[in-house]
Amino acid sequence: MKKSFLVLSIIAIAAMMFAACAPKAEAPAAEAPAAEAPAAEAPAKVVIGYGAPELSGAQGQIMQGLIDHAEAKGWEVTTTNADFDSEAQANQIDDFIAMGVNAIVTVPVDSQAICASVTKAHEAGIPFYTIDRGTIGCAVDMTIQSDNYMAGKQAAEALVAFLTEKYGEPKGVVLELQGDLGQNVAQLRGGGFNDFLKDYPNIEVISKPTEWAADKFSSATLDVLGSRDDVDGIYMHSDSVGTTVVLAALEQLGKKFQRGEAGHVFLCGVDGSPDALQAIRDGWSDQASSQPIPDFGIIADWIEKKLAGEDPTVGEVVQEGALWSPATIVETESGFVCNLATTSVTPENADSDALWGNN
Amino acid sequence: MKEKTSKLLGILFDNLIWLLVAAGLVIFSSLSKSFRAPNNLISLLYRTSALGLLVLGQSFTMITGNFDLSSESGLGLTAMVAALLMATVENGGLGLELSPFLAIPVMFGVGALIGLVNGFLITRLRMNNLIVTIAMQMILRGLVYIISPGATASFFPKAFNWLGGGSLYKIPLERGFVNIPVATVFVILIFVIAHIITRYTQFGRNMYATGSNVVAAKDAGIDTDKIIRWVYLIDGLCMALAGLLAAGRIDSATPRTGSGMTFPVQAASVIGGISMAGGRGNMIGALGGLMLWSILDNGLSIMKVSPFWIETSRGLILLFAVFLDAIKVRRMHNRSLIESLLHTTIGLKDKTVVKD
Repeated sequence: MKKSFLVLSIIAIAAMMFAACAPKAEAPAAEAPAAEAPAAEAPAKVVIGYGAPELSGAQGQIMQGLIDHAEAKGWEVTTTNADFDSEAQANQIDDFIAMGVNAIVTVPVDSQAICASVTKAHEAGIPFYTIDRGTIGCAVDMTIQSDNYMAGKQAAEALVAFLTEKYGEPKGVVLELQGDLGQNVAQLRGGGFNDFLKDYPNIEVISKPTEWAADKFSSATLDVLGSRDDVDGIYMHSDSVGTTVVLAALEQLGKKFQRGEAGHVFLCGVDGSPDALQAIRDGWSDQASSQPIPDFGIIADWIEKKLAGEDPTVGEVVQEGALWSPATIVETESGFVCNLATTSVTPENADSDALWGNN
Repeated sequence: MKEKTSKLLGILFDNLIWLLVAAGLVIFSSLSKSFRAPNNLISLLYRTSALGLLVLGQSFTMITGNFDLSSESGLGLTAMVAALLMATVENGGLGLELSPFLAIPVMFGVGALIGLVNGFLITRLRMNNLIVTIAMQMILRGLVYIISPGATASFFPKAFNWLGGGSLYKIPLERGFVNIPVATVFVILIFVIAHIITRYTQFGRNMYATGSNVVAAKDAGIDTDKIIRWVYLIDGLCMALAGLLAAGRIDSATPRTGSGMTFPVQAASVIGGISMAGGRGNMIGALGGLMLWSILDNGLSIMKVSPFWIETSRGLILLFAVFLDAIKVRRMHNRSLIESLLHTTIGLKDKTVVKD
């Protein structure tokens, strides 16, 4: 009896050790060049530590974009996933510092809580970059994100064109489904949209906060379009959250019509999610300001400059033919921010492979 | 011969966690230069310091045969209360900008209150400890969202961050320095104190007695309800300490601070040899469980292993720990009844894992 326990436990220990070792089998080879050669002795292989906040939806594409751009330079990227946990992200950044990576790139789980890690990395002499969202309360070397103000403006342009065609002049009523107004992303998406419409006093904007929650996108649509029949269009701060539920709400109200049909409600939004692009192709939706998500990886260019001792310069960055061009670099309290252009997607270009929503 | 084997087996079982910790350290150190760097080794307990305090509180309740699944939210609430009191309005606080020397006692007050409520519901109202603490987990997390409201509060006075994020001393090296975090030393110290309390005081012995057999403990004149209330009070204070460590560590309290820690807390305790059935295990073992958790987390991450594998290896270790616990129970059943009783409850011996 006891013998069997002894045998069993030995087997179990062995199995466990195996479990701990097995996935490592391939790792040492990959790790060796980075760990054995001190960073000081350039040109050792550049290693980037990438901290994802989670890996669902667009986050997976953001990570892949960075990996692609870094590997194109012959660099190596080590990735971690914090799964929405700020403390886990702090631990993962500690690991990067311990590994002596050349630069750290994250999409912060929390714009404020990341600051303790930014300070630590800078103390260790490691440059720190963020993608998609910036920091609040500390400065990073650079944040790369979409030009959310431009995204709002592009949606407004498309809306004005639609209304002008419909009525012969720019007038009408539009519902704006806002994100979380505590975040600058939502403020900018709303700002670009409303600032553009200021020149068109006959367009009435009804704004409803949704805090990015799908159920609030739905209930706001039902409330407003259920109570009045003169709404011409809907602008969604996030079409990845909104497209499906807003279309379902329109159907429930008996107001879901395709482009060209009388009573069609013009749909526009920011993100350019797969849902939104499909809805545009199917004729239900009209416009999406697509974020240049895979292109966030061009932050590698600025990392390369930084490693060569060069800081970013404020101003416009142009690259012929690139979807993200022109980008603008500004200097803020949170460090340099690079805003990449968004692409206005309409039925004409909704099939383009360059859009992240089609990949 | 048979005696000897059995004795050896007993020793092996009791200290298996430390063998695993040693094995983990050796394996990872030999494979990765980054892992064996002094700064990394020292940070093993720093990164899991908040988890450690929750494991400590959990171990106290588990020794008496009770669960606490509310601690992750207790951590979140105490951290958020202190954060709101200290941070400026721009940084998400209430604008009181209270001194940490006032905010920290308030945290402990909140933690103690949580513990008292848990203890009251479980002992006075005879409610099931598992469900009570699950309900408390939801209620407390809800409170975090209500008071915050849903926003992060950051940037505290240095004194507040000292325990969770400060460094005790920096030993200069040829290149850079070795940083000894306050939290590492603190966690070891507090586990040693907890070990002394559980092992060498009447209160500690009463905890084990309550956990191994409530009826027998009552017959022996122990006020088991009182013991349980005390244990939950201690557990509540541990939550506040964990909140202090977690918030100090990242200089922020987010609405999600602490969430998702419940299972790691259970796992680290059980891996450390604290029995789910109550009445068995010790604090030094629990510290080992915490260490092993941290070694796996840090080691596999530094080895660039995919997060999915890290999760899998944790699950395997947890299964193995429960397997060991089951063996211990069977070994006990194999003994004569008198011997078992003598070793567990009637004699109220502190060493509750039966040895030959």
